[in-house]
Amino acid sequence: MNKFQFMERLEYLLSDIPEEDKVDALAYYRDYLEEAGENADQVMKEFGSPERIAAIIRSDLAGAMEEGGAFTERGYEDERFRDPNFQVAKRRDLPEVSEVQEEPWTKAKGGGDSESRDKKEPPRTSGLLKIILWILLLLAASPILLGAGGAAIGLAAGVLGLLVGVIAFLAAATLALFLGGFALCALGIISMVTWLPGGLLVFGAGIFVMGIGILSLLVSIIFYGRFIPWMFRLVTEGIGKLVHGRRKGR
Amino acid sequence: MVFNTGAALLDAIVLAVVSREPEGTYGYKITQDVRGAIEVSESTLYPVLRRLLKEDCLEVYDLAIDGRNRRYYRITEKGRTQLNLYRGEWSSYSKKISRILEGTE
Repeated sequence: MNKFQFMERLEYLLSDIPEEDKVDALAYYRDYLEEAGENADQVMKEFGSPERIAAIIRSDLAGAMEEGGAFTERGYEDERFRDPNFQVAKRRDLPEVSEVQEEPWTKAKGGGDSESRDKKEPPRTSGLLKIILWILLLLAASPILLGAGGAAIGLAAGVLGLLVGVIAFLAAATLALFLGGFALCALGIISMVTWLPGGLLVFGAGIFVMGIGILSLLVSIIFYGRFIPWMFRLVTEGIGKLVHGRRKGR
Repeated sequence: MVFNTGAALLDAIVLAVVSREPEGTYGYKITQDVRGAIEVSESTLYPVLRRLLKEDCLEVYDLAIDGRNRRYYRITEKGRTQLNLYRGEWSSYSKKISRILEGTE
């Protein structure tokens, strides 16, 4: 690495610090390597790497220099910068994509009956998918679980079965209520042509059934959006505790 | 060297080195001059110079040399006062240490 590559790399590494500090630091190190002349290679070797220099500049800016390092007979030394492979900054992971829980609500408010029925599908699918994945996971982890006792598996399977049942029932009930309500409405409109009061009655009943359908939809959304994630968390923590406890026991 | 150089002593040495040049001096030369007294690494002095600048003990100016700007460091009045304080402290400190270590009276 020659001094131009060194400076280019350093400039890149400092691209997000305040402009004034960056210009200052780059000017200093560019000057330094220029003045070093023939010794530039030796100087760069002692610098370690552009990453190390950038890290020193950053910590100085952050005011961390006073706590982390110490002046010794070998100059300013900071344990954190001793390794030439020192990482410049803490790597920050992007936040995990979280499930959007509010969306079903807004959609349910805005859409008509057939629309909300369509929109209701995704949570159910993902819920079922999760259940399936969890069953697979439990199967894969069964040797561990077997060690913990078959009773736990039985219990887990029972709870899972119950969950699957409730999920299926909720989805089916909502669907049926919407379909039934819709059919009653249609029937009512047709009947109105022949006999107005009877048709109105049937139409009203259809609206009522659809209303219950909407209620059921809301319950499902709460169930899928809140209760199931909570359940999973509970189960995960439970398994974690189980494994942890076993490790402790050994 | 077996004795640690504290932050204050390093400040004092840098101020002394810079004050020897009335026209000012530059980063690489400061480092080499300081190295005449204590071992410092090539990357040591930037944070020190920055701090002394921030405390107004030093000032910078750019001078065009060979078609490019070289940044010069010059001691300020405040820096000189600080350096005198360091000199006085060092004088009494080093005398006391010498008296004990070398038995000189």
